[in-house]
Amino acid sequence: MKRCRSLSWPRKSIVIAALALGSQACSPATQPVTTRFALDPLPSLAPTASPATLRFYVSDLHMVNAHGQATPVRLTAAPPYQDERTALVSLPGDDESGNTVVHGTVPRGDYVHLEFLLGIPFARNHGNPLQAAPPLDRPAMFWAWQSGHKFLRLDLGNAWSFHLGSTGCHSTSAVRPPQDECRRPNLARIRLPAAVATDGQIEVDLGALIAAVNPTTDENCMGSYADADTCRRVLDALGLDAGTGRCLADCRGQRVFRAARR
Amino acid sequence: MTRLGLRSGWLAILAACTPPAPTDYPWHIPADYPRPVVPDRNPMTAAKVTLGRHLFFDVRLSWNGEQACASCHQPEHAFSEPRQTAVGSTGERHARNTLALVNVAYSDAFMWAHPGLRGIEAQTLVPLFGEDPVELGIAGHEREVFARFDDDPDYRRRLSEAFPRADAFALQHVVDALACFVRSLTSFDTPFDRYAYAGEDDAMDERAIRGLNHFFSERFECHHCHGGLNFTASSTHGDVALPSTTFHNTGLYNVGGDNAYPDHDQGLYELTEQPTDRGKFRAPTLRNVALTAPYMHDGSLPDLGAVLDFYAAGGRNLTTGPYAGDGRANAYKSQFVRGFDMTPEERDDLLAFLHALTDPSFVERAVRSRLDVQANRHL
Repeated sequence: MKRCRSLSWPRKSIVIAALALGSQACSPATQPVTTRFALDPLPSLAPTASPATLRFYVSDLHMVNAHGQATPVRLTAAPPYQDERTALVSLPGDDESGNTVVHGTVPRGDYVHLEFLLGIPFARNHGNPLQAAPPLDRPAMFWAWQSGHKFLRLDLGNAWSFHLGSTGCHSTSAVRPPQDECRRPNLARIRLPAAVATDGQIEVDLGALIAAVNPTTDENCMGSYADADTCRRVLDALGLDAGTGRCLADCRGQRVFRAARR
Repeated sequence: MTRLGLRSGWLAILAACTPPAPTDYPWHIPADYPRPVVPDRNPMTAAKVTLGRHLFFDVRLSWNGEQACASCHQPEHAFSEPRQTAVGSTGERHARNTLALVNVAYSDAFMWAHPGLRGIEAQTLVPLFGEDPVELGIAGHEREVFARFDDDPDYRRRLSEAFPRADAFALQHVVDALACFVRSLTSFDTPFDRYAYAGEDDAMDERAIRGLNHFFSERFECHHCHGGLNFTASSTHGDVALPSTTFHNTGLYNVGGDNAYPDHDQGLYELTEQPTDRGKFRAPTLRNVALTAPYMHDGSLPDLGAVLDFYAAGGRNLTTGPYAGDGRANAYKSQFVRGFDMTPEERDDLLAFLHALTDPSFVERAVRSRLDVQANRHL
């Protein structure tokens, strides 16, 4: 096997990264995509609102060149955290070992952006739960056949929770999949500089996500997001319009994910 | 804290053994359902399940010969019991209600609040050896108890079928066989399964389907803790490598307004000593739940209607007695227990759904397995 472009990693890292680059099939025609997520520390919360556990799905990764052409990233099948299309990111919490890296390959090229979907596309989101394979087999990240998976789950201790997923999904009961796309998909498409896939990382700014939330007094945001002003603002931080369940201005206004140096 | 204290030596003994050849055990699980995780060290075999079943129903497994596992884990009640809290072989009253044994093969957590136990084999040591409280009470009497089975020709035959290289009963054989039997107690033949996974639209009536929809709704929030294949968050299966154990304070108590549970049982806190773990217990499976009254870790709610009313109220306000206090205001209460408005019709719907999780064939098999054992007893 030919040697791939070698990447150097700083030794000092707060993030425990389970890198599988060494075992990854790699040829001169492709380049690795290694996306690390790091939790931007939260301002201190009430004891009942900590620890914060954050888990989310990332799907449909693309690298985008200067002409706006998007090339799909093929994720490396690496259960239990990712298959070829979707990865589960789990930032340090009290009951998970955590997974902070999404890795795959893309044809070699000059890219300016990395894009991903925060969640799971409709076509994959309502499969038979009995047959769900990793990383889609997590009961804690699943609502019901009708409503599909939780795209993002944030639990602040036992005080406040935000569970993001599709809403307005119609079928004859909670254990029947919808035939048509849910009315509010709530799928944010996140675009960041391409450097996050090589020598950068993605900081997840929980402070920005919950800027409008008082965890000890506010109601959870777990479905009817448009009904509560707090929840509308949580979705707005992700670039989503809670009323339509779709991106506002391509979700470019999102304030939660940002590029940073490793 | 001595509660459930175990001698670490037993765990070391368990770790040192040679696995028999793996077999294709005929699980009682529908073809398209995921298989449970079975430790490589103790693969399922029909012979081990048979031996384990006999041990499970045999009072000679307690030191004083008063109790079998089945004395508390009774087949008619999906291997739970109608007592409020268990009573051990020496008559000692336990703090907790006997948990059902249903699809335990899928559990990644055991007992009501014991985060450190990994695997049914390790759990089995607790009822055998536990001294606070005493259950079967064999600690210090192991040799004598196992000799009872060595002296029984039928048991010797079962032992050699299950463990061909064994010449006498040892702890390893008892634990592995009991674990295999408990692992074999799978239950998926319910109206809910036929409706949800076999696609039989008429397997549940309209009331139960409405109840199902309430159950999975954000308004009632039941499925947050009682979700997944086994209606519990502490469930895992063959393809899942990431356990997701969770414990919750449901607002059952708030003794003296100090966010406390009764002194004799503070839940997860007993083991972790973290103040925020006060009153936290594991959400058990809801499969066969209609058979397992009374409810909650201390059996303090008599029936499913009372449980629904309790969650609708967002906890329990005890106005009198030694444990008086407003559990609804317990600071450590789960954020999922916030209360909800429930009409009498919705309550009936939810009850109908919970009854659709009953598997009559499971209970029939369980009762029959006890009769088989009794027919073979030579006491």
